[in-house]
Amino acid sequence: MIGFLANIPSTVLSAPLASASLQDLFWFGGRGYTDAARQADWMFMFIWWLSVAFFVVLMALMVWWTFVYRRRKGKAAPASPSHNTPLEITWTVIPTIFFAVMFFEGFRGYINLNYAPTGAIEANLIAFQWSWTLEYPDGQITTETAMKTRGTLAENDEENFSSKPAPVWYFPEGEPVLLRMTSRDVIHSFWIPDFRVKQDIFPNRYTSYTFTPDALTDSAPIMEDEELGAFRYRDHILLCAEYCGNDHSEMAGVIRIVPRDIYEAKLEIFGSPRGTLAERGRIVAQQNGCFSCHSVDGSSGTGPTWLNLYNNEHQYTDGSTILADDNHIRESVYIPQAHIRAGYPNQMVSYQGAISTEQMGWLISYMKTLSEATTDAELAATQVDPDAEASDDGQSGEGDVQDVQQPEGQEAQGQPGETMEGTPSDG
Amino acid sequence: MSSLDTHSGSAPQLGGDHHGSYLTSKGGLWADITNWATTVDHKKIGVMYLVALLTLFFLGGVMALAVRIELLEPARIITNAAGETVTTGQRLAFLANDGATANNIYNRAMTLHGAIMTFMFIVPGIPASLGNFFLPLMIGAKDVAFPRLNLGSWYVYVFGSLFALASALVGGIDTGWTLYTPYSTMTDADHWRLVAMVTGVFIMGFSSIMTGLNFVVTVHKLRAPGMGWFDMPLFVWAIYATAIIQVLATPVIGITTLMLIFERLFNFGLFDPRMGGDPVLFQHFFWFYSHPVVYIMILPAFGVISETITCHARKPIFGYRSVAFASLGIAAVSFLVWGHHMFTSQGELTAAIFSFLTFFVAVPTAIKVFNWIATLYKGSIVFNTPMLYTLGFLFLFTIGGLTGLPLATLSTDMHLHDSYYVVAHFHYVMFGGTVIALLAGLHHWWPKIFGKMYAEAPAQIGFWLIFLGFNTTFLIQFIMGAHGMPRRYASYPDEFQWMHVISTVGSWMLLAGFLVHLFTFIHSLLQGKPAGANPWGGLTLEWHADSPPDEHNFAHEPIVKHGPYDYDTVVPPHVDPADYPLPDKPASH
Repeated sequence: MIGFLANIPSTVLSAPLASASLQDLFWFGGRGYTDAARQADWMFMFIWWLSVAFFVVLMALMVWWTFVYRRRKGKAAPASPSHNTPLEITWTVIPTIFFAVMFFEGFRGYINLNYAPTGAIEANLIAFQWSWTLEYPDGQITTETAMKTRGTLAENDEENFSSKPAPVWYFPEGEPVLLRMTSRDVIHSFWIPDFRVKQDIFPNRYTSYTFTPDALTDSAPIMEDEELGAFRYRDHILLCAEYCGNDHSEMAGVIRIVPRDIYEAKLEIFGSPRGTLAERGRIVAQQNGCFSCHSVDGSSGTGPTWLNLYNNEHQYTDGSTILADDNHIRESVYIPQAHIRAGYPNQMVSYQGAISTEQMGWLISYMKTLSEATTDAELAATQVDPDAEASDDGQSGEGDVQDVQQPEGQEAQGQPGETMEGTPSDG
Repeated sequence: MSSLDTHSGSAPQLGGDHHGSYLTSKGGLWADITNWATTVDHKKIGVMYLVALLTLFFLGGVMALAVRIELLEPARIITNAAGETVTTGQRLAFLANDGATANNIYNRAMTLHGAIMTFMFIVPGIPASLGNFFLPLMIGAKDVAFPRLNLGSWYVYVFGSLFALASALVGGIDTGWTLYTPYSTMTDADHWRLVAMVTGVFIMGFSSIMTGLNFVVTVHKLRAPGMGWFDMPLFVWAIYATAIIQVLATPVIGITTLMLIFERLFNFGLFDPRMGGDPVLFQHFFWFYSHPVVYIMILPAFGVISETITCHARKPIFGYRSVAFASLGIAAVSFLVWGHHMFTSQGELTAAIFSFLTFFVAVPTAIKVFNWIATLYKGSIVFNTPMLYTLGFLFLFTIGGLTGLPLATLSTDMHLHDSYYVVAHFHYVMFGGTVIALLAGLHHWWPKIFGKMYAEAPAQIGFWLIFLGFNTTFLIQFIMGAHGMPRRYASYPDEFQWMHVISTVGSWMLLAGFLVHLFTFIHSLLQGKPAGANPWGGLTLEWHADSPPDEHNFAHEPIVKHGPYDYDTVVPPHVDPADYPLPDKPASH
């Protein structure tokens, strides 16, 4: 009997591709997009309707009795017993039974939300103040960003968007994913509302996050991609859900569910660096969350703007005046505490190990394009595309195993990809 | 006819101990200041606490208004007419400077709102104000067991709050009131402000322990003859259960704050993984106190409601022993459930245990709500401000309690944790519960404390503004959270804006309601009608004393001959019996 009751949620979930019910829309803004999410939603609705029933009964009695028994001058309140043992036992036992159901089914649902089946795609997620780095199985890192909102890209007004663009991570439909997560600094939390689960991320250990996203339906929007053609996709926003400082609210990301072949093609694109030296540098900055604190257009932020930074002199808190040449930029990234710009807090963490020597060079190339103090010759050098000079394609093939060995942090770079108009760009 | 023999406020009686009202001036401003500053009278101490708490409530409220104003709009980066890229929508940005961005200002306002409201207002809350004033009166005592300790607790509170306020006034901190490590140990911007704030919390904890100790002994030792444990008013039971938690739990926040201070000052490494510590250890320590503390917040509120509902429905409480034992049960189980604040940061066995235990504390709480509503049955209910607030409490606290269920349930909590759903839940229980009950108690006991009536019509307007404003502010937040709006966000994705606008408008309604009450109370003090000893016809002992009470509370030690809620057999003291008829046939008990 109990076993049958325990199976009710699963039978209710037998239509995973059903569209969102009214109560899903009211409470969650949409349906859950994994089986485990729908199981959790069933539990939520069970508690919700039970609560509504109790609340309505209690409030109805309260309001009704308050009116029916309102004070009448000169008339005494009729005597009534002030305890009733059978009634009190009943109203103790019945809630206890409901609570037991909530606990047991809640625990089952929690296990389903948090445990990955075998054969999941495994990726590493590193959280930091104030963005994320997701490393795909072969070390690839996304180069794409999108607006931080739940709607699809096509719906967003490129001129008006909430705050900063967020990284886009591709995953194939219907396949389990397991993220192994850790933090570089403080506690963060990874939350994908559409999957109804979150998990805290700590600096001293790994925690894991799993989901098996639903297959794409015919109502999923279509993206036109220059290289890959048209494909269906579905975006799910992800948000940081543990307060982590200044830009806690700016750490969004987008999980993009696509067909398996598109996913593999994207990974191949991410796995091979592309573009001019400056473009590659911009991608490095984006992947490392530099734009959380540094603007490229002169606007103020937690860190100094990169506009006109390169090859100009700047004041520092120790009273020194330093020319921002290649060596100084390198020091600022690897040992930021060495010199703090006047008027800015000592808040930047080191990117030693996160940004490789080659990437450091690209980053400097990018910063050169942002400064009027850069010489023409230097500027021209940043516009060189290393791959265009190679005689063969030089693109990493599928079996590009030798790219895989890397220390912590990213080695693989990506190409500009589908970045939106509003992302910080040169000029 | 009351069988108590106390001074009624009319012609002085021969014999007995009369000193005049506790509010009587000692002659001259300096004499009064000295008198209040050195008083050991629980009534004066209660009034001083009340004034301080209400002032800090307004300060915390200003922080909340700032938070809600910022959230009217998300931060947007747009290209303006001049072709420049600018950030709009950050209303607190005018406070930003070199060291603090607009988001940082928001994070400070958010933190100070929580820290001031929790540590400085709601934890001392009802026990320090109404508890201090009415515990001795309700048990027929002259004062608490240790009057000097009581004054000490007041000064410790003042001393601790100076540290906290100093920190707040020079910029405060941005860690969230929960002070989670490693952020609170790593953030460099606020080193001394953080140490000062946490030191303030440490000191104020001692005030809570002193009050709790005092109240436990008072209830055990100072009850008037004839008042056994099961003749005590339920407010006394509530204060007693609260006091036990205060004594047992508060030392844990003491040690936790000390650990945090030492971590910052001396780099002890307790929470630093590089030195073998664990940041989650802080969470366990913090919540081991901070979960019981929410019962310190709500149990006295339950006590107030038991008093107001019986008095203004003129009915004995339904299930007296259930309510009394439920208070003790809640106090006991409250120590076992702290891990439900950490479901996303612990292992699955731990999570299962805490989820299981959390449901245990839900049962006695639900029982209390059923008992109160059953008390209304066949009552004689008057729609005055205390009763309105009592009914409001039942409405709001029931919502707060029911919305705790998806948070106790593991599968649903995975989604709702750290979202606005949690924010809505705890505001419904803390504000919709404790603050509403405090307002019920204030309006119920105002005539007794100050000897003046307040104007009923504006008070009812204040109630409706607060009740409707509260729901407008917080009901939508349940939906916001379930839709995916995280907590402690200075900005948010576009689709949440309409919900935030509604919530902010509600905060303005709340402000209006509190201002109405403020003016009503000030008007009462200046020009209110003098109150009789028993304007509501209550049966508990405080209604035998004068309004305001004599300095030594009662002319003679009361001898208790009836229960606190015997509305069907006893006519209340100092009233016209014609207004308080008794039923012909007493109920079978």
